[in-house]
Formats: sequence, C-alpha cells, structure tokens
Amino acid sequence: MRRLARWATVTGTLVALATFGAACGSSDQGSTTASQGTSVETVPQGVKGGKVTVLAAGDVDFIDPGQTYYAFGYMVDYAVMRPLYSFAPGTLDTAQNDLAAGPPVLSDGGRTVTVTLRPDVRYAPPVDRAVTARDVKYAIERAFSANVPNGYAFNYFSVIEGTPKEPTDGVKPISGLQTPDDQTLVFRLKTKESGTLVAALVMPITMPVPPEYAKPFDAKSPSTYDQHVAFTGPYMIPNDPKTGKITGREPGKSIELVRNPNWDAATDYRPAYLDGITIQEGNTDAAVSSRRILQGSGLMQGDNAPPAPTIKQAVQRYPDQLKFVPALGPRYVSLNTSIPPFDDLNVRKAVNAIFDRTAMRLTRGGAIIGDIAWGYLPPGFPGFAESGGLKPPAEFDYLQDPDGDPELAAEYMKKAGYPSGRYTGDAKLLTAAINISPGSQTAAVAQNQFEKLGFKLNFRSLSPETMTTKFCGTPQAKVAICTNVATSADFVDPEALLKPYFYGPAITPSNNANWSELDDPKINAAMDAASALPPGDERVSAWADVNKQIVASAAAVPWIWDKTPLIASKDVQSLGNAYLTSWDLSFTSLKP
Amino acid sequence: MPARSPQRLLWERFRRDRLALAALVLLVVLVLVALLAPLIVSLVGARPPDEQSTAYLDAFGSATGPGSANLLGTDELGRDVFSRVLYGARVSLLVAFASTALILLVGVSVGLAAGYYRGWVDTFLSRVTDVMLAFPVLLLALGLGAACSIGAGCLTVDYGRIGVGLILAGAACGGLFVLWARSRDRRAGNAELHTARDALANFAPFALVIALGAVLAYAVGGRGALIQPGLPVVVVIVALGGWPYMARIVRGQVLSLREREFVEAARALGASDRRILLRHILPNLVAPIIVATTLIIPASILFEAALSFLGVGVQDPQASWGAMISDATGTFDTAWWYMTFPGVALVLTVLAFNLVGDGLQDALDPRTGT
Amino acid sequence: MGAYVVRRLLWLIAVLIAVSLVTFVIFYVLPSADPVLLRAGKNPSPEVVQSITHTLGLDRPWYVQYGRYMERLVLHLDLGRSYQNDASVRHLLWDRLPATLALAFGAMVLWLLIGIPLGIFSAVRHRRAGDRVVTGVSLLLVSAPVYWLGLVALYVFSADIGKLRWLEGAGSYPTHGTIFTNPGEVVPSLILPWIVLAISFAAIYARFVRGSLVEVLREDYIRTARAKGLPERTVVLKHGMRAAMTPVVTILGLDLGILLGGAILVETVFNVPGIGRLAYDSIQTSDLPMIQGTVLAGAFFIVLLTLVVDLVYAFLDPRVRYGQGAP
Repeated sequence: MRRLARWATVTGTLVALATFGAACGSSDQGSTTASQGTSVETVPQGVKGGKVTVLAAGDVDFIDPGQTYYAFGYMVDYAVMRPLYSFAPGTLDTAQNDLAAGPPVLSDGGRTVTVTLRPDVRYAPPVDRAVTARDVKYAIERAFSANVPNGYAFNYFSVIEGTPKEPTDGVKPISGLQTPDDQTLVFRLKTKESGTLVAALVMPITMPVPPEYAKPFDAKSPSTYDQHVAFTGPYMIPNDPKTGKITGREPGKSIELVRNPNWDAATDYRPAYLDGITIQEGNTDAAVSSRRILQGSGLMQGDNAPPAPTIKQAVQRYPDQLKFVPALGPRYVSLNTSIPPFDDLNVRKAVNAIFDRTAMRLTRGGAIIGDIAWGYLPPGFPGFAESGGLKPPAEFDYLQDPDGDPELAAEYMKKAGYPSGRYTGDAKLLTAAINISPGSQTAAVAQNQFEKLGFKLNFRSLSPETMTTKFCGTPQAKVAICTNVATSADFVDPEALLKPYFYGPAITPSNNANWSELDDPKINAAMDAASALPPGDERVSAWADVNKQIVASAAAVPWIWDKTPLIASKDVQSLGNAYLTSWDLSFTSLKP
Repeated sequence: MPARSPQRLLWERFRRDRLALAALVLLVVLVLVALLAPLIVSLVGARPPDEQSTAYLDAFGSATGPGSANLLGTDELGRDVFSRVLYGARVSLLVAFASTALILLVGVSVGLAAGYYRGWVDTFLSRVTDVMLAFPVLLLALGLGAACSIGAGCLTVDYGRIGVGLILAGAACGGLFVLWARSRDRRAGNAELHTARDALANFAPFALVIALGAVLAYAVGGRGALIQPGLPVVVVIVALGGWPYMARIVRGQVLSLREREFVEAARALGASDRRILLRHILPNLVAPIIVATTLIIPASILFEAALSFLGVGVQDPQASWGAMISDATGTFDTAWWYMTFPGVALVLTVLAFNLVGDGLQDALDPRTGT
Repeated sequence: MGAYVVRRLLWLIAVLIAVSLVTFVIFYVLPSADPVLLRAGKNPSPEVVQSITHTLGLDRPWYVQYGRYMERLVLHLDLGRSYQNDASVRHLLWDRLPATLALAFGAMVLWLLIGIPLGIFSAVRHRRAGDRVVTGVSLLLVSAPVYWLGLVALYVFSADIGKLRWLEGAGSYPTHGTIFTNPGEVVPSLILPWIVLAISFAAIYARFVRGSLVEVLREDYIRTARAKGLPERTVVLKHGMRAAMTPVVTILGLDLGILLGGAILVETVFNVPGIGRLAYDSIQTSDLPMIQGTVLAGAFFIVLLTLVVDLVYAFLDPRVRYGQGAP
C-alpha cells in the first residue's frame, strides 16, 4: 500500500538557538550523547559488527531522495543519506540536527530561514567530497523539475521565493534559495508563514545531491539518478567506484547495505552497529515471513507488518521480540460530504454513532494494536493532548461508546428526517474498499455497520493503488464511502494530518487526499489562521481546535490510533523509529 | 421384446454403474441444499451466513472452532462456517450451470460453423480460437476481473439492453452472412448453398440461441438476481476461458461427420444445409457434446473457485468456497476449520460431477461398458 | 518438412503479436490503477500530473503507445520498465524464469513417473479391483483444487507450522540462486510444491492413459499381436502404448506450456518467486509493462509447446504436414 510517509512535528522552539528538549527515552534503555549534547535513546547492549537480513514484501519506490515518498523507501533512505534534520528512534518531540549544525534560525519576522550545515560530512565514493549547502539547494531545485517527479515539493516548498508554478523543463535555479558560503543555506520566503517549511525540513528532499555529478542523470527523462545515488549516511549501497552506478540493488529482489567508508561517527548521532544489512524482497506472505523472523535468527521485519494471529503468537510466545511504534495518523472511514445522504450532518453523526469501532479494531488484532480513536491527531503527536487526549470530549456524544450506540444513531436519523430511525432512501452508495487482508476484513465489518442503519452499498473491493488513484482520490468517481483510510503525517506538525485531508481548497481533480470532500468555510479559515502561526504552543493549540471542529463536522468515522508492530529474531535488538514507523537500521545490533 | 428408446437405453446403462448413480443422488441433494439453504440453516439453528459477531472472537480477533454454538466454527469475522458452506453451494452451482450454458452457446456455434462451412469461415474462426487458447487463461481472467473491479464494474449496464444489443449484433452478422452467401451463390453456383433464404434459415437457430443467452444473462445478473453482484462477470470470464475447448471439440467432430456417407447421400438428394445440420450432424454431435459438458462443468466450478481464491471472484459478503479458502490462508495453521470444510465441499461437488460424467460417458459408449 | 516448420514459426509470431495487441488494448482500456497518480503525491496540481504523464509517455494515443512498445520489443528485445520499481521487465522475467522452470519440469517428471505407470496398470486391470482403486483415487485428486491440496499439504508437512514437520514450507525458496546454482536450498523448498502439483496432474494423466490405452487395446492389430503369441507385456507396452501415447503427448505439451507461463495458484500458496506470482502481483498493481511481459511470456510458452507437439506429430505422420485432418 502506498502509504505516504508519516511526519513528525518539531515541537518546542526551533527558533531559539537553545538546546533541544531532552530526549524522551525510557530510563531503562541505554543512551548516548550525540555530538550536540542532546541525549538519544539507543539499544541497551549494542555491539559493533555482524549482519542482519530484513524481510520485505515489496521493493522501495525509489532510492532517489527527490522521488521517494513511501514508508519503505524512507526506511532505507534514512540509513544511507542524511537530511538537514531527522528523528532519532523513540520520540517525535525533537528533531535531531543531522546535516545541519544547529536548529534553523528565523529572521525578518519569519520571512528568512537560515540553516547552517556541518562542514565535516562527506559523500561516499565516487563523489568523495564534503557536502556543501549548494548540494541541498540543488536537491530542492531538482524536485521541481519534470524529470524528477516529486510528490510533495509543490505542496510544502512553494512558499520559497522563485519556485515555479509547474514542473520545469530541466533543473532551474530557485532565486529564493541562497548559499552565501559552503555551509550556509538561506531560504527567502514569499510570506512570513514559515511553520510548514521549517517542519518539512526533515523530509528526504533535503538530502544533498551533488550537482556536478547528478546533472547528466537529471537531464534524462525520467531522471536516472535513482541508479546512481550519492550516499552520505552511515551505510551505502555498493556501487561502481568510477561511475557511481549502484550495483548492490536488484529491483524486486534485494538491496545490500554496507558501511559507508566516508562516514564519520563523530559527526552523527547514529551508532550504526551493524557492518552490513541485506534486504530480501518478495516476501509477500506476511504470515510466512513473520513466522520466519520470530523463529529464526538474524532476521527483522521490513515493510510487512505481522498479521493479527501472528501478533497474538508473538505476545504469547516471543514477547521480547515484539515492539510497537505508534503510527503517524489515525485510521478512519471517510464519508463524502458532497454526496447525499452524507451531505446531512445528522446522517453523518448517526453513522458515527452506530459504528462498532471495537469490532473494527478486532480485525487488526484487538486492544493490543491501538486505542479507539475519536479524532485525527494520534497519541504522542503534537495537538493530541491539547485536543482532549484519549477520551472524546463530552460534546461528541456520537463517539462516546466504542461499541456503537444504536439508540443514539436512530435518534440522529430521525432528526435527519427518517422517522423509522433507519435509512429509507434508494441510493446505492458507492463504497471503495481494499482487497487485501486485514483491510478487507475491516471493510467487511464497516459494510456491516452501514447496513445496520439500512444503507445499501455498491461495494467494490479494489487493490490499494486502484482505490487511491482511480476511486477515492478522484472526486469525479463520486465515491460515497472509503472504508480503509489511513492518513500519515509527512512531518510532525498537526497541519500535516489535518490540512491535506480536510481543507476545502486542497481538493484536486486527481490524487485528491480530502476524500470527505469537506469544504467548510469556517474550518478552512481556521486552518488558514493556524497555518500562518510560527512554530510553537500557540500553533499547536490552534490546530487542536481545528481538530475538534473537524470531529464536530462528523466528516468521517475515526476508529483507531494504531501502532505498527515490529518484530525481530531473538538475536537481534533494535529500536523502532516513530517517524519512519519501522525499525531504525542505524540503531540495530546483534545481541552480544 | 419391445424396442426401447435411446434415452431409456442410456438410463438403463447408467443405472448399472452404482457409483455414478450414487453421485447423481449426491448432485440432486446438492442442488436441493443450494436451493433450500435458508430453510436448512434455520432448521438447524445456525446463524445466517452474513451475520458478523464479535462474540465468537477472542481478544486478538481470532476465530473459534467447531462447537455447540457454531457447528463448523466461525471465520475471522465471527460468521458461521456451516451456513456459509451451504450458501457457497449456490455460487458454485450457479456459476457452473450459467457459464456452461454460455460455453455451449458460443463453443458449439463456432465449432459448427467452422467445421461445416470450412473455407475462410473456418480459417478465421479457428485462428480466433487458437489465439484464445494461447492466452494464459487464468491471467486473462485475473486481469479482467481486477480491471473490472468486480462488484458490477464492467457489466454495470442494463442487461435488457445487452440482450437487445446481442440480438441486433446477431442479426447484423446474419445479414452479412446472407450477403456473403448470395455472392458465393452467384459466383460458383455450387451445391453448398442453394438460396440466400436457405442461408438465412441456417442462421435463424443461431439467432434464437443468442437471444436465449441474452435472456439467461438478464436472469443471472439482472434485478432481483439470486446472487449478489460480481456473479455476471465471473460467469462471463469462466465462459471466456472454456469456449475454445468446446469449439475445438465440436469442430473436430463436425469435420469427420460431414465426410460420412449419410451426409453425402443427403446432399446428393438435394437437402439444404440447414436440413443436413439439424437432422444429420447435430444429432450425432449430442453424445460428444454431452461428454465434453461433463468435463467442462467441474472445470468451471474449479475455475470459479480459483478466481475467488485469487480475489477476483464473487464479492463479500456472498459466500464462495474459493473465497473462504482464500480467507483462511493466513490462519490455517491455527484455525483449520474454515479452510477444511469449504475444501471438502468443493471436492465432493466436483467429484460428484466427475463421477456422473464418467458414468454418462460409459453409458453412451457401449464398448467401454461391461 | 522445412516449409511446414517455417509456416508454423510464422504462425507463432503472428499469435504473439495478436496476444500482445489484445492484452494491450484490454489493460489499456480497462486499467485499474493509474501509474501517473501513483507517483504524483498528495493533492497534486493538474500541471504536475500532466508533467508526469508526459514524462512517462502516457499522453499519447493508445496505438502510438502500442507502436512504441512493439518497436522497442522487436528492435531491442526491450520489454519496457515496470511502473512499480522502474526495473527492466525483461530482466525481472529472466530472473523469475528459473523458479518456474524448476517447478514445472520437476513436477512434470514426477507426474509422468507416477501417472503413466498407474494408467497402464489400471488399463490392464480394466474394471477389476486394481483399476477401481486407481480410478477412484485419481478421480478424487482431480476433483480437489490444487491450491487447497497445497494448503492441506502445508498444514500436515510444513517444517514451520505442520503437524509432521518433514518438508520445507511456504516461502523457503531462497532469494539468491537457482536450481542450477544453488540446488541445496532450492530443491528442498520445491519438494512440497512438486508433490502437490504432481499428484494433481498424475491423476489426470493416469485417467487419460487408461482411457486411451483401453481404446487401443481393443483394436484389431492388438488382437493379432496377441494371437501371434507375443508376450502380454510386449503387446501392451510396445504396441499399445505407442498408439496410446499420441493424445498424451498433446496434452502434455499444453499442460507444460500453461505451467511454464506460470502456475499462479501453486506459486501463490508456496510463495515460489516465479513468473506466475509476478503476473499476479503486476495485475494487482496495474503495472502495464509488467502485465504485458508476463502475458507474452505465458503465451509464448503455450504456443511454443503446441508447436513442438505439432512438429513431433508432423515428423511422425506425413499427412499432418499438408494441412489435412489435424483438428
């Protein structure tokens, strides 16, 4: 499933030059101090050396940092390349300085953002030189060119002065990106609204790309840089030492990761214990691969989360080999507010009231897999506590009972004009669902809920790609219900979880993410106001309020804030990275 | 001893094979079960097949096995496996019969035309058949199913209109055929076709059969159909995979039949094509067609189950044995019941058809009898 | 003879072209997922979408796209690049071929070894106890779906979850190496799929051989041979089988052709990374170049094997060469 990577927000102040917030590792875990003096959680008994095999179902989408936009691609890319800022495992509270030497500095009321880079990060061979600010500038510029289709550059980085309106023919310079010297990168913005841009600096687009090396590849259509990527992380994929062509990757089969000879541990907060990692693809049967991981040695999970029965087995028999990392967003069932009868608020509230969300959760593994959701900001995410925490505020009576409240639902239907308490119209509601397990089971339970209220569904079971591109994401398809929505924050700021999915002007004719097609002027205005605020507590509170307004509109039925289960063999120890929602390869080690 | 009709003879011979007879009884029982599934379910006290229930799932969402509450256990949504197995019979049998009807319709027509008329008709039809045979059928079926996003995806149109369209198409083909026949008539004045009227008369049975097919399509997939949407597409896909075999077999038989003496004699006496086809060739085709049909029905059942297993068969919540097996693949090591029972049901059903088919074959061909 | 071969080869090419055209049209006209949108990210502007469409060459009309596809195929044997991970289709197919070959041929050897002797045995003991047992068991196996048999076999014998952990289970096919380069890991992982496939097909072949041989053994020349005093074994094995084998060779060719195109069901149940599995995955993600590639590969094998079978016949029976009779 092409789940767009989820994003952490940088809470606390990025503006100040002061220390970051303390890292929130639990005290019984080991920790080291990274070079900036902040403490980062690490594995308790990490030993250098050894190899681990990662079992994955599919392949990464791209290694090219300008094109990757998929959770599994992130898992690999963040081990072999370094963006300006990134997240260490275990916490979303603070972004670590990665390529950057310190937090970004806002000036000119927020219209200028200055990032200072470390001078001592080097590319792996064959590029084999120090990273400069010009490389990051080029990396961002190329994401706006037609040959490098990037899925988010236009959304989050168009606030930079001089960015084009449509993809350019060839890589063109952006006037708002300035590099007064090798270590300084200045963003000049069109407005003072720097919050989104600053939060988005953790995305792969800021991973450096050497222009003199990459230009010939980027001149091709589409760009072939993906086969010649330059590496800056603790690991790299083996390549040809003269041309840079990647040799350690067999698409669809495997990827080899070896140590990057030019990586200096003193410049990085990552420990990078392992000497090598092999990613083995094609393990499409999650039950089979999970079994192998649990019962074998030297294995860990890639992109294929264990199914519910395996989680049960792991909890009962291999508890030390199972960890959970919170997902970066809720799961919900979207109701298209532009299609009757879901244009009626009371009908939507009735649907929310009838939903047995506990039954939905059972299809994914039960209580262990997450909390019943009532809103769109998950636990641990900024804005969650400010919205009200785990329990829904009393004003949302239709979300108080996780098992569903049939009487309340009937009442709302009556208010909507259906005196029997059930839907009596003859509309057949087009419903898009996923055809692979466990999504297919969740969809079946969801269908059942609608039928309890008398709705008749035109139920279509689709592959995830079809569901996203041809049905739910295309307003023209007039899909009334999408049963398997799982949103994912691109960066750690509530805007990432609320704006793309519930903002009226965000609705596009293709690849639309606002599947509820919610276009409420009050909510839109509230989002505009919240988006303009600089990073900080005021911004978080404003977005928390937006969250509650969206819940009040009952535009969807949120049902779980789930956690991603991560499993590894008994001789492997690792940490789950909350931003990557996977194991962190740079924090993985064999047991001594 | 009074002469017995051929049907009577057939039945007598069939009866002697006790295994085949038992299988026939089993088939009848199966059809009854399929038709009376709701009654049986309520008599036994089982829950309806669509009823989900979390009461039978544990804290992790795992299903419960056979027991007093659920005869054959539940599936991962808490639905009663016993009911679903019974209702699954409906899908299997309906798909088998409907798609076989379609296969007969298309395959026999094509085979007859190709075998009897020869010439470029034969070449064209045989080439089409060959290309169809070259297709990896399951792939094609998968692709069509996925592309049509089963659930009334491709065949969402009005079945009445499809029927009318088919009849019109048939009439158009017939008209073209007549024109071609007339031109051949004028050019060669040979004994193959006497008049254009004859050619039209030859084509009438085809048109009738096409119309019947349209009606059948409507009955299967139209309003108030016995089964939820998804079925028409499956039926069409299964038929698409099966007709080339029927066409090949029929063509081969017709080729050999038309050279036989009685046909030559009939032609020498001035019989028209239609007469020859209807009175001499078709009757002799009945036996091989029946034999082929007895092979095709079980194959269709298995094909539908395979499509459901791969996820492009009938839709949830409609129970289908193949889909139930597919649902079970993730958990069959701990929850063996909802893989086993649908599988056993499938095996028994297909076995029954195969036994009856074998019995029929033996009864039709006295040489292989006792 | 030579002319016959040439004609049939030309026909093979024509069929492949027809298959590729039909596939292209079907999957173009009825696409599932949109490869452009898969790369376009969240809420893209129409300009971004247009740009990606143009980059992938998908804004041309379908016949132009088909033309370019065929041109690349014929001139460079290039089957395009997968939409999913930008890998070369030809490379992926080539990679997956050994697994499918190993699976198909291994099973074939097994089912011939089991099925044919059983068929002969039951034909010889026609209508007696031995025949009934073999026929009964064959019928049972033929009636069972092969993927269900696979699941049952895994349930009983799989090394990681079975009741009797004798054989390697699903997903044990190694990532690297083929049966030629890495037999130590490949062979154990294929034993269970081989057995499951083989018993399914052996049943079919046993029935077929039985039926065919029973027919042949009624012929006059067999009676003559017996009357001449030849030992029964020679009569059956030498004279009977030679005639009975012809239809068996036909279906063997067809079956092998279909299996080589990828046994989707078995490959799915046992997680064997063959062409069938690749086809299934590519259909799910609407990866048009990959679908084209796998369908073409499948069709190629079917037609190739039909051709081989026909050539064998033509070699044996001159009448066939001149286009008479062969249905």
